Amino acid sequence: MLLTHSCTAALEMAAILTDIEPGDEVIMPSFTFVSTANAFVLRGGVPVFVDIRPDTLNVDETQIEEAITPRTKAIAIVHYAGVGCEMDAIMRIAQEHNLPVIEDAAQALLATYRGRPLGSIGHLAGYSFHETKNVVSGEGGALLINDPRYVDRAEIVREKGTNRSQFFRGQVDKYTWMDIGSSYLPAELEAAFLWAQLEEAESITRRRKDIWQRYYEEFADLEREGKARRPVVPAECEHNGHIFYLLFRDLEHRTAVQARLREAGVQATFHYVPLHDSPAGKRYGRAQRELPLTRQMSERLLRLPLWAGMTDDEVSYVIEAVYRSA
Amino acid sequence: MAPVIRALREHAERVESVVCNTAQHREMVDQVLEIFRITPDIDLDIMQPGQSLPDLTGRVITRMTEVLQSLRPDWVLVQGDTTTVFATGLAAFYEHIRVGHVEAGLRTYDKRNPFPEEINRLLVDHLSDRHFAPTERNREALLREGHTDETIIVTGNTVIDALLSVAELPEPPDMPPLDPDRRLILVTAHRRENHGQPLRNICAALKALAGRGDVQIVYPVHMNPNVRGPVYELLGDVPGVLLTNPVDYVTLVHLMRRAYLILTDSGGIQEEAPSLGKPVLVMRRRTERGEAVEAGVVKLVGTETEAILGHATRLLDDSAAYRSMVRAVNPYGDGRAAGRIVASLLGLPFEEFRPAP
Repeated sequence: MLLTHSCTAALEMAAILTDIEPGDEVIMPSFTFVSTANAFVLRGGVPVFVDIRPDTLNVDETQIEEAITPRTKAIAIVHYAGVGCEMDAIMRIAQEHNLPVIEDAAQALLATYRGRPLGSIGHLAGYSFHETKNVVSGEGGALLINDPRYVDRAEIVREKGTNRSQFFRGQVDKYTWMDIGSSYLPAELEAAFLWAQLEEAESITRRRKDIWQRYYEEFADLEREGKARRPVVPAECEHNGHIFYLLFRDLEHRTAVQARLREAGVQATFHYVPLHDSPAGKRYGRAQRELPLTRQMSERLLRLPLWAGMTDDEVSYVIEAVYRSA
Repeated sequence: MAPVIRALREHAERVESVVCNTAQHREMVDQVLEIFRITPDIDLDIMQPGQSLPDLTGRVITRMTEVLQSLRPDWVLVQGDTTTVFATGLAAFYEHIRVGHVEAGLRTYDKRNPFPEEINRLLVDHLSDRHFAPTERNREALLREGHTDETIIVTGNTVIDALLSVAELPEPPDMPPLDPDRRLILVTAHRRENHGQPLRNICAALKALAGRGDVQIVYPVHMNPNVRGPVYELLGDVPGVLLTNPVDYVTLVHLMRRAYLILTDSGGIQEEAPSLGKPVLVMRRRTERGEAVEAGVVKLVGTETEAILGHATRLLDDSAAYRSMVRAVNPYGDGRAAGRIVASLLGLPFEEFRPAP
């Protein structure tokens, strides 16, 4: 694992390490943050967007295979809200077609799939320690390298394309330009801050999961009344309490609920605008087919306040406000 | 009807809805009520052992008239083509209460097939004040019978609404064990017209497909001995074929979602699978789902072993052929039928269902 200054940086490193060249296609969900796509587009790659699953909102693994063409160079997947993708199926497809899998695990620290940490399953993975994540250092991230063939080169790419790391270890007597690269390192101050956060990572996650669970249980009636649907966590996944969202009927309903929550002083936020519908997404990528679920979920989803320092009373206040607003 | 009931409840401030269950098909209805968490306000529990159609029709009219007289609703909504639907429509008509028919305009134009449903739906459409037609084709059928355009609203089929909301539910704990290392082929085949040699041909094709080694075939087998006998005999110990008892609707939807390819002789699945973006090979000689065949999301392959095997193999090996069948365009609905029905009844703005070309 190499610390970086962001998950964006880690993904950009992954694009370099997987030798993405102009015209190479990378299969990914459209329901994700721009960095998943940008990292590859910067190398001239073409994002090929596939739809998401109706339950977890993760990439629909059953649609990956049909998106593979002779130009496909990699598969990039995103563990939305810290809930794992169907990694067994994805790794099977990748292996069959000899493609590297890059896990965008920005939200997935300490979450697992069949007992294995997310970020440890694909060939490469990125974590984020951005201020919005569970464990933070302001900006910050990490590249996880699970395939030894990328290790040596990753160190060079991260150090502006030089073998400075080897120099520091005394393995070479001077360092020089070896490859393309950029400045992907975090500052030491950030790393020090992160260290303290990592020491608390388990307690932070535990508290977040408690709040998540309370939301989940308290909103059972809301779901029963057909007003909103709660997140789905498959049995093989252990989440990390990163996001609690509700899916409302449609855009109109969500907008109304959001406005009423705002009046009650509760900041609830929607999430991604689908990349395939964005100006840059249309210019640089293409959708494998219609992506009805991506569009629909993006319009229906509302995230509720969730942070480790939230008090029980604050959680209760949010729950009551949602019931009054939905 | 469940999605319509839900959509009505979402507008509880504008409309009071009362759910009346005649329970003509008790077990099927109860399963759906459970999935959608609907508790009927009135349960007539009308079915009696060995009852005849005239008995049933008479009793529904009598009991429903009592209900309608006490409630005096502005509208009565009925869905489908059962005898309950026709009799309820007639009771409402006698009481001068407006009738909205959900799933209007379906026709085979053979009055004895299906019996008595073809006549039930024809009659209830004539009693109805508003026709909620799933597709443009159904609208045309109604127009030809002299119904005026103002009474017809093309909504898409509410079954797609139901399907999409079930697909969002967690997978049930009793899902059949799936092998993530192999692509899933879901099979359903139990139609009467396929009993005998056609079913044996289908089984032979499935056995050959399983022999590839890179697919897992899951086949929930109907309890009918004419199906169970040959299927277990021919596929019982074939590696890569998982035979199960019939599965409930939630499990079936999740199996469809997990599938790479669906082989079926069922009508409902032909309507539903395209919404989940799954190609369907129909193992029959003909289909009533012409729209799906025209849209290219369903293919009629017949019941010859070689034909089934050939089409399935092509979809497994030729990604261009596969892609051409999975455009995720469903001519039967977009999951918003219930919203249109309720908007129409409440006088709210909405757009009719028009599948993308």
